[in-house]
Amino acid sequence: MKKYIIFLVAILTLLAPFGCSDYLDVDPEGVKPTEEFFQTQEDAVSAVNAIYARMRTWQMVAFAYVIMQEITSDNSIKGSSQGDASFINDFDKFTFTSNQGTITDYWNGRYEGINLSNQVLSNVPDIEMNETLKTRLLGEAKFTRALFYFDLVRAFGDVPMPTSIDNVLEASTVRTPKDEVYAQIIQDLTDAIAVLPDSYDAANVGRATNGAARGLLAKVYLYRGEWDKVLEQTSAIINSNRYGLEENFYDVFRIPFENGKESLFEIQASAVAGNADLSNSQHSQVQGVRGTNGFGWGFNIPSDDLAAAFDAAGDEVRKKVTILYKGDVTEDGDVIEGVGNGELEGVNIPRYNGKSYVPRNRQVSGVNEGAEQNIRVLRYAEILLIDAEAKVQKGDIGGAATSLNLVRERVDLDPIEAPTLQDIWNERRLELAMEGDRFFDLVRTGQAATVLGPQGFVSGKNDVFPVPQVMIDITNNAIPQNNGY
Amino acid sequence: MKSLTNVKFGSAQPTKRKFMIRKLLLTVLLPSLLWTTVWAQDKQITGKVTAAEDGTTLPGVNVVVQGTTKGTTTDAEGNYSIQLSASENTLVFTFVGFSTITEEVGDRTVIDVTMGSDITSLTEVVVIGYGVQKKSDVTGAVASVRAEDLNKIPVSTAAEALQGKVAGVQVTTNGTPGSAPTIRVRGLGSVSSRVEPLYVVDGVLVDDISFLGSNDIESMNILKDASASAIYGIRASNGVVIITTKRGKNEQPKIAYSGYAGVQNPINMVDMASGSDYVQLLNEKDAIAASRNGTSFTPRDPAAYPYSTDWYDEILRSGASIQNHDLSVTGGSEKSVYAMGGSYFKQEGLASKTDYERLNLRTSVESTVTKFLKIGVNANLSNFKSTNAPASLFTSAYIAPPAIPVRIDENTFASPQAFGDFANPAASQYYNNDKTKGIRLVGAVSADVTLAKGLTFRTAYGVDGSYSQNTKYVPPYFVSSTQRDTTKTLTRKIDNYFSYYWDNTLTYDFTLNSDHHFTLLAGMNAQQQRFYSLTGIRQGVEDFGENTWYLNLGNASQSTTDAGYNIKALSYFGRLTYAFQEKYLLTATIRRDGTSVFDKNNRYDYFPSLGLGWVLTNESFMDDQNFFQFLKLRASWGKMGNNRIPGNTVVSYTSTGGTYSPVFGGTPQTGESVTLIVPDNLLWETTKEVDFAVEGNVLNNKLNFEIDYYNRKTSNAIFPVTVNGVFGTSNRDYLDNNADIINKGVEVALNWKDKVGDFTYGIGGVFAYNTNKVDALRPGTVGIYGGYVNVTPTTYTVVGQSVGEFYGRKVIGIFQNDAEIENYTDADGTIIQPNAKPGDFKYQDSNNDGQINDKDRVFLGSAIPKYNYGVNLYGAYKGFDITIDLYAQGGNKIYNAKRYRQIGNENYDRDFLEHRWHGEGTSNDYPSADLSADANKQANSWYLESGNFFKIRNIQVGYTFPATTTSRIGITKLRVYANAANPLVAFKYNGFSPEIPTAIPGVNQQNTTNITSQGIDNNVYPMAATYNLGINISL
Repeated sequence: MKKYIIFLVAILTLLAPFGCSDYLDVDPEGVKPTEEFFQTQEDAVSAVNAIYARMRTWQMVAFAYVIMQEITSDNSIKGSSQGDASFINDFDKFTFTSNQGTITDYWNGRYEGINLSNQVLSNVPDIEMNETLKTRLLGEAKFTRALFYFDLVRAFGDVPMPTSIDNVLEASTVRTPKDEVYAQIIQDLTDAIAVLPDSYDAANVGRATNGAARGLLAKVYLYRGEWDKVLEQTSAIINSNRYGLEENFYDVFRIPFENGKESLFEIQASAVAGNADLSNSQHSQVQGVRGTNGFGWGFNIPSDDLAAAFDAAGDEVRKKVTILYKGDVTEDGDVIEGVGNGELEGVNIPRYNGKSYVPRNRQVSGVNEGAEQNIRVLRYAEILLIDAEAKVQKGDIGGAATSLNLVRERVDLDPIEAPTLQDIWNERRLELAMEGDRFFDLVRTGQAATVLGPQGFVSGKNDVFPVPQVMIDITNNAIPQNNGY
Repeated sequence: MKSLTNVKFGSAQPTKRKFMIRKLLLTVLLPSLLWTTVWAQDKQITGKVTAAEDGTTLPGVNVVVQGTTKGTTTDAEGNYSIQLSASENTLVFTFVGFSTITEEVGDRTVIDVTMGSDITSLTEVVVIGYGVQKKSDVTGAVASVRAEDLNKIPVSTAAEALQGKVAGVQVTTNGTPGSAPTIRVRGLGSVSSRVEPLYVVDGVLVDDISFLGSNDIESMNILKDASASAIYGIRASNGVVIITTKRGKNEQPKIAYSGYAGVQNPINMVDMASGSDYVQLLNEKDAIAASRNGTSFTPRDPAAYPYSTDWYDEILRSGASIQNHDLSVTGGSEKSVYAMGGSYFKQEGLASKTDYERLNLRTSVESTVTKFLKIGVNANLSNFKSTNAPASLFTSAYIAPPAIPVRIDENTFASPQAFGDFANPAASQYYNNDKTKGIRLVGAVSADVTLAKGLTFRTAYGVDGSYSQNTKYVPPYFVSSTQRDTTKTLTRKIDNYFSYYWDNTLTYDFTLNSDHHFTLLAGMNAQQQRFYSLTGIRQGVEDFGENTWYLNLGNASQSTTDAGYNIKALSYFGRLTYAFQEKYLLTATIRRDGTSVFDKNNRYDYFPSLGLGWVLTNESFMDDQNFFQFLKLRASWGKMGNNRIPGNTVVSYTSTGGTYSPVFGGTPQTGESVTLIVPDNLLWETTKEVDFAVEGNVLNNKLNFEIDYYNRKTSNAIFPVTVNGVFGTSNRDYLDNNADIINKGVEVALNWKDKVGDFTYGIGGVFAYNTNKVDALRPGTVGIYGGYVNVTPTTYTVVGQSVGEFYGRKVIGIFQNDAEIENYTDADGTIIQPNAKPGDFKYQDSNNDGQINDKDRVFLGSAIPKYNYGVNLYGAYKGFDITIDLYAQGGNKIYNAKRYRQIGNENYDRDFLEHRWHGEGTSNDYPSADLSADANKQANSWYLESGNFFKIRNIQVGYTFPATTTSRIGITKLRVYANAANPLVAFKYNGFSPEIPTAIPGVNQQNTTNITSQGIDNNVYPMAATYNLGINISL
């Protein structure tokens, strides 16, 4: 009997540590719990930083961007090599369906940015911190939110519109009418303009400025056809004298001139040797010269139609910068080789997007090719063209000519004394070719049916992309599909 | 006649008692009996007992005079001597694990007996969770594999040797030396959690057993159904493999060496197009592509490319060596038993420059310290290293243009750039440095305390600790502008793993009224698994040899990442086994498991099971039949769980790191935010299983059969739920209990054993049939697209289909000419494929909308094999023995993603070359060489091929020298053998192997990608036929 008691005691002693239920309370390893975030000024800054970082993701600047904003247009075609990512041709031919992953990527990438912006706008006001900084950070988040919604409303029309982390659930199953989305964008940008600084110190260059917000607002009003309001913003920008055109068109797209005087807003990208995460932009990689001595995958290549448009305008400077043909030698001395003649669908001579080209001397070994290339979102040349377009609309032909011809002079083209709307639109195509503007611009200006009809564009359907099928499936049809899809 | 002395256990007493009596007889009564019989002697019989299988002598065999209690046992040399009276004429030889032999004495005075081992013997003991049980008493589906069956085949890990040995266990072997095979017990029950079975090595729960050599293992028991495995509730739902490593016996010290050495040759190589064929195919392709695009092209002149390189020849080798040496010492006394040993295994990979090496040390000691206390300790220390092939070596070899040479001169590799952006596979291999080394210790200490008769308390503490280090270094080199490296990058990854398992059990074994036998078990288990991994990368590391591959010698371009997890679990369990007169059997278990991977409120669940058995042959109404020597019906039900979900699944944490950090003005800044959505109510994934079975022995115990039907339903399977994109979270899905998955199947195991004269033989067969289906998905859950090949999904997992069912367009032919294209219209006359060219795939317009797009995709078959079977033949004649193992599997599809790689000038295989469309009427099955064209580059049925195969798994012929000869040089047993593994693998699939391994993820990684991407052949490691010679020596 004594033996039993000894063993019983021994057993119970052994098991005692497990009697308390907290044996299984294991703190998560290697992560910071959400509750511990949004407490300090540093957290507020980090949260805003994250928005900028997530602008350079695959969904934001790589395939979804080049496919939906350019390849759908008359400016470019798939490229790469025959058979590689052949689904892209569905976009060139407007045979895509709502199942296509690229569309989901486009959608998700922008809503990711909206969530990050909303996290800031919902949480930062309660943080005790420097009020000036807080105001600026909130302004930055409003700018970024507007930028993401502007992409969405142009691509899809009516879209779900969460404006805070508290209304995301309700907002996620309804499509807010396009006009309300635009109203929100305009409100956000107006708020941002009021608080954002004109510029930043060297360690913060690349954050949204007052000029960036004004530029974006001008472009938004352009899409809304509110010409007076466009001009209000463009004149403010022009009269600020903070911006100007780079002398050499080639330089506009080169790394040393990033965030320069022509730049209103760029998505900041970087190539840090040995750090794949900081160097994760694939914008330039997917469009880089493919093949022998190449530095990329060679997608989104300028079409013969774009080349013809340059030729028709006698525009040699921009053609040379925009289209890198096999055999060309760039100003940085790189010989463009690319794939073999005839190996590409749609064109005989290989060519690549010259605007996303990163010279070999700027390539950082071991990370994505061209990871350092910033993505030009708004530059002064476009502001001048927006200004010109609004002025034509307002009948101020002389004023329009002034702005337009600044852009033309830089690339050695003769001035146009009395520009028409079509002149402005043509200029936009050539100046902004391959910069993600063409498809939306064709739809905005009503040229899409004529220009893209031969590719398969159907008016009343392809003006917008289909809502990702998965959205319809998981909301059990609460989110209606766009017409025709 | 060889049959059990008395097969009807029910007629007398429970066997357990009989055992005890026998023991008593041996130890106490025998001497006196022998002494008394001396006076009544009529004649003396002597002889030697040897094992049929290998000719070793058998000590301790019971030799009993039939119908009496008189008997003796064989001595250490297997010799016996017994006195018989005139009326006594029959001797019965019995020994655990061997078929009983009955010999009529007649006029003989010397009777040598050869005993065949009897795996189906009813007295066989199987290891179940936290205990052992007689096979005849088991109510669940438990299969045993003997060490001998594992040892015969030369493989790096014993798990591979299970192929074709156990009904319902599907093993997909992997050609990469040292890598674990893919093992599935009874289908596939999850998509997000681990689906590999749980291994229990001497009580320690481990994820894989590649650290063990086959010779380290004494027995493997596979618990297949819920009744058997529910006692391991927490991780039981994929089946449990219980492994006991070598143990000592109460016998004279025995030293044994076994070893083999051999060569491996690649088999079933896929012939690729030659240089000139390749150029011709490119010209065909380019001509069609040019006509498609309205462009021109200049054909290549085949004469300009005199080379024809077989890249596989360059990167593979014949005669890669394989060897294994194992030395063991076992022995013991009544009080203590011990086993010690070491083994060395080395396998060269088929890919040149690769190998795998493992040195194992093992020790096991059990000692009865006092009357009531027994302690034990065992440890297996494994030390391994491997040199690995570059990641995409085989893909690279498949696609590389054959029309270039390997090298331009001795020091310069040729660049394939004339044909596109290709790597020279031989150069990739040459400049690759990828080495892994590590050490792992699995062991346990235990104490058994006998508190009273039948009442035992056991405590066991087991550990599994490992350290491994992977080093990759790329020296500066230049082959072409796209195949070069100047960064001199060194990557070092260090993994540390430590886990402990502490079991405490109380077992009470008692019998009431001699008819009611009870075993009660109550226990608890506490366990923890901790893992930490650190990876450092630096560039600019100069190459002065391996000794200078240090991160410190690099430049400032660097990055580090680390990760870890900490998982705990706490369980309480109980089991009741009850047998009434060995007729009616019951096993009931209950387990309460808690695990830290779930949220505090959902952490615990109960996992009960019930198994019932009815031994009909122990019923009196069966007394009059002679057909069944043993017949048992059993049925079981149980619930099991799976906690192997990715770590931190239920934890809401911030996202940070480089991809969240911007660089402003050249200065990286910290970014962090809230981007994750986590399930707020994640519960255990549970599997409920029913099993009905019949097992028995017929034809004088010559034929043993076991037939099982099972239906296992995984409820609340943890399935990814797609997040509404508007939430903008960084995780596109999160895990929730949103699916039901059903696996149903039948398993048959048959074993025939007989002896004709001196010829002993056995035929074993295992057969399994399984169907897998997603039974339900909760609202809000859409299916999962998976199996991405070149960004195109090839599988879709939805209700009504198997997990990872192939999904794509259906090819109904090849367009032969323009007229066929124009005539392929819908009801309204719309041309369905207006852009097609002759030689393109003709697709089924599944939704009849007059066009082909992704809405025309249909389900095209499953990657999960429906059936597999193994046939194992054995024969022994005098000293000679032979075993032949056959294996077959089928009913599944393989996605030939090698062919889907075509995006430019990739090479073609010879089968394609010979069957391709190259003009009207040439083929209605294979398309033109323009595989990369849009219309042809879609996930479709042409890329799917049958996964059926048959192979001769192993053939071994052995000879055991007569003990009389070898004993003169002090050797008890000497056997030599020749072995051929995989000498023949037959299949139609156009690939190197129809066995497509599925990557096994680390615990922290989500499995979904792998599970929904099974059966996709992205160039597997080729298989080898291994020919080796071996020797077994016992002193």
